[in-house]
Amino acid sequence: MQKFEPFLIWGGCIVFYLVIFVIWILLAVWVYKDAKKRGENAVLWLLVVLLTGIIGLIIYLLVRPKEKAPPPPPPPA
Amino acid sequence: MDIFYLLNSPFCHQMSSRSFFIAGFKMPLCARCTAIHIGLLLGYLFHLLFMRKENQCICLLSLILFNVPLAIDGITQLYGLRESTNEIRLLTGTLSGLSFGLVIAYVIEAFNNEHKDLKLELFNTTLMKRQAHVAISSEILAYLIIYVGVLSNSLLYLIYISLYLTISSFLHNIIVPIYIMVAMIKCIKT
Repeated sequence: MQKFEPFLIWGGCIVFYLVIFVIWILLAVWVYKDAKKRGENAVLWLLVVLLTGIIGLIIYLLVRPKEKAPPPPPPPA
Repeated sequence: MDIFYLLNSPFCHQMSSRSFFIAGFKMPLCARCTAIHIGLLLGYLFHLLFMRKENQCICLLSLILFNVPLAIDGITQLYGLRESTNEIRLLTGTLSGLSFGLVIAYVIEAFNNEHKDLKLELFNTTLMKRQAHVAISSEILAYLIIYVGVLSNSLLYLIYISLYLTISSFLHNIIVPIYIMVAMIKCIKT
C-alpha cells in the first residue's frame, strides 16, 4: 500500500483539478447560452466567467435582465 | 505553485523584486502584469455593467492618456533614471489594462452585433468624464484586490488569483488576439 501512496495522492489531486476544470467550463458554457438567449453580450460574459469562475457567475446572476416573455400566439384567422 | 510559475513563464519575467508575495509565495506574474490583467477584467465588467446600454461610441483620447503613466514609468526605469515601486506599477498597470479592457469589450460587442458600428471619437467631454470615474474606481478596486490578498496571507486567495492570472494570460496572449483577427478578417470579407 505504501508503495502506491504517491500515485494515490497525485491521482486524487489530478482528479480533483479535472473535476473543478470541467465544472468551470460547463458554468461558462451555460452563461454563454443564457446570455445569448437574453440578448446580452454573450462572448464577453463567457470571457468574464472563464476568468473568474464562481464570482463571475454570481455577478452575472445578479445583473442579468429578466427573460423576455414568449411572443403572443398569432390571432386566429 | 510550481505549475503556475511554469505556465506563466512565457509571458512574464517573474522577477522576485518586482512581484507581490502572498503567504510567503511569489505571485505567478510580476506586479505590473498582475495589474494589467486585473485592469482588463475590470474593464470588461465596467463595460458590461455600466457603459453598454448608453454609449455607442468610444473616446480615443482618454484611452491613450490611460497608457501614458505606464509608459513614463517603464521608460524612466528602463533608462535607469529612477527605480519604480510595486505600488506605482500596480496603479499604472491597472490604468493601462483598463483601457485595453474597455477597447476589447467594445470591439467584441461591435463584432457580435450587426446593428452597431464602431464609432471612434477623439474628444468627447461626457465620455471622458465617465471614463475618469471608471478609472478612479478601478484603481481603488485593484488596490483592494491585491492588498486584501497581501495582508490576509490566505493560501486559498493565492491559489484563486494564480488560477485567474494563468487563465487570463493564456486567454489574452493567445486566444483573444486570434479571435479578434479572425473576426476582423470576416468583417473585411463581408
